[in-house]
Amino acid sequence: MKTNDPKPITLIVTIYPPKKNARRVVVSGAPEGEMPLILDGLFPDRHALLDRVFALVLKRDPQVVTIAEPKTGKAKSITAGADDDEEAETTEEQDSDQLVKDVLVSPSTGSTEPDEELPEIEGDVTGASPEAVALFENQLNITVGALDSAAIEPEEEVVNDGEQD
Amino acid sequence: MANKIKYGDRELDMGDLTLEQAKQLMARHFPELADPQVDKKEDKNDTIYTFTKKAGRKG
Repeated sequence: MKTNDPKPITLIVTIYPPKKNARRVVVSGAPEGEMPLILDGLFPDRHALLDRVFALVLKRDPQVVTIAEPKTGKAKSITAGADDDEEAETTEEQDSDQLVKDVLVSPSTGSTEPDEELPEIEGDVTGASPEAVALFENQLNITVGALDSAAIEPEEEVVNDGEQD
Repeated sequence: MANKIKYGDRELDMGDLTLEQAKQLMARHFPELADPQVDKKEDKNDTIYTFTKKAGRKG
């Protein structure tokens, strides 16, 4: 199958205004999409110029103009898939961040804003003075110590009961 | 010293054409060059006018 179908040849004749009593003629010709061939001469030679350009265009090898893709555009198209992947990763990261934020947010209020309207709780040390904190910790230690000693004594009794049996 | 037109990967000798005449001629053969961007470059003894299509608006 023949792939190189001949294209129509466009010949353009441009006749410029006379300078020093001579009209200049420029003839350019090329098949569509190819770099034109240019010849210039004087007005009386216009027909010969036309024939010459036509003959030379027929004889010459095709000179199709190839426009290189802009580097930025090409890079964009090449990395388009990678960009999508990055966006997907970013979205996943954002989702995981959002998940962490959701966990950190108080489930009762659903907000990270300071709880201004919550009722005061007795013994709550949040925002208390250092003295109040020290007093609370002392009381806590005393309470924990009492609980520990109370918890040890029954264990000894249980062990003793086991040994007797 | 020669003046040359470069468009894409092709070069063309301008002969005695002025730059304005070359623009008109190129626009007739390549309609996309009706309003071209032309970059002038001195290369050894030649002056090369590189024609490129101006980027149009999207949409």
